[in-house]
Amino acid sequence: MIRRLKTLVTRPPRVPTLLKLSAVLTLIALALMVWSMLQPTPMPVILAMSLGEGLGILAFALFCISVLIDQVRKQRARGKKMTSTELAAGDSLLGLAPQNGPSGTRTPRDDAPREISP
Amino acid sequence: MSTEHPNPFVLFALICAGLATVLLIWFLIARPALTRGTKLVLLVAIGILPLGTAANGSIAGYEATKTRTFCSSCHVMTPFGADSSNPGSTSLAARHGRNQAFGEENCYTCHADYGMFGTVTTKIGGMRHVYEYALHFHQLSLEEALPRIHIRQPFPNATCMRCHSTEAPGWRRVGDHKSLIDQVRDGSVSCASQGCHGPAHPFAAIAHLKAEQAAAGAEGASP
Repeated sequence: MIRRLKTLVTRPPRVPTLLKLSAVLTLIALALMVWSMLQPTPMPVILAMSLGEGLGILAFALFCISVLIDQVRKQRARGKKMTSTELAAGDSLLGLAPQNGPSGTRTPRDDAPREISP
Repeated sequence: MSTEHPNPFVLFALICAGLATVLLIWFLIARPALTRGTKLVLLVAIGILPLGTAANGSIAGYEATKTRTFCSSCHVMTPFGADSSNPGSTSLAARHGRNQAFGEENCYTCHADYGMFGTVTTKIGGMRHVYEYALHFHQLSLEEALPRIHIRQPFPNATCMRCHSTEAPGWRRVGDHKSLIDQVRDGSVSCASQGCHGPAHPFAAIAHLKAEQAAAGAEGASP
């Protein structure tokens, strides 16, 4: 059980799975609420106002979590791309890249001796 | 031709639920890519529309809990509902039930607590009824249940005094009212007591009396 929980924390379920679960929970919650309106007797009304609304809140929380996970993953992927581009740009500034100028030719400024501060 | 209009809260809640169901089933069957558009559709189907259903459904549910039909839907409450809706009955509950100000909500109007948090305390009391019914009364027959059903606290005169203010000259002209005005106002003499306006549900009082007599008879018969 604890191992399962640990796995759930370290490797959260995939976003589509979470969204499917959220959609199914919403459908169950809606069914309970509709039942209470079509048959307003104690049991359906109590179930709709407790279990139905609880499931609805849980489903919405799952939706928010899955959107957040998706957003974080996308940002991380974008961040990785940016880092590789910045590295390439930094290399070009330091003169380590094979091509320096926009046209690929070395400029006179590239050949000038660099000042080294004492 | 029926003049009954559908409850607008129920109607709105059902429309929201229907739309949300259509969108969710589309999502589950079509399995679209998780683009920004899909997320927006899901926000509407999982967040906004169910919120509309829950809000309107809660109001409709709350209104439904105030009706006589709701109160008498448990079998042990059937005679109480039947008596108070009986046009030929002369019980206190029935006479109030015939008043338009009470109407279909006559159980709630008399048994709801008064004051700022009256609605909340009434609903908590209602949950107690559900608990009692589920654990103690559900299995009992009506004959077994009736002698055991009793009001938890004495019926407060303040409930009667919401309408019968005890200030009207016609009320004061009645000799018993005049002599007991202080006791009626402080609640030491109940309006619904035997000898005054009688028990509100006389058949329940008769069932209590019969049960007490039977118990006394059984005690007397035992050596």
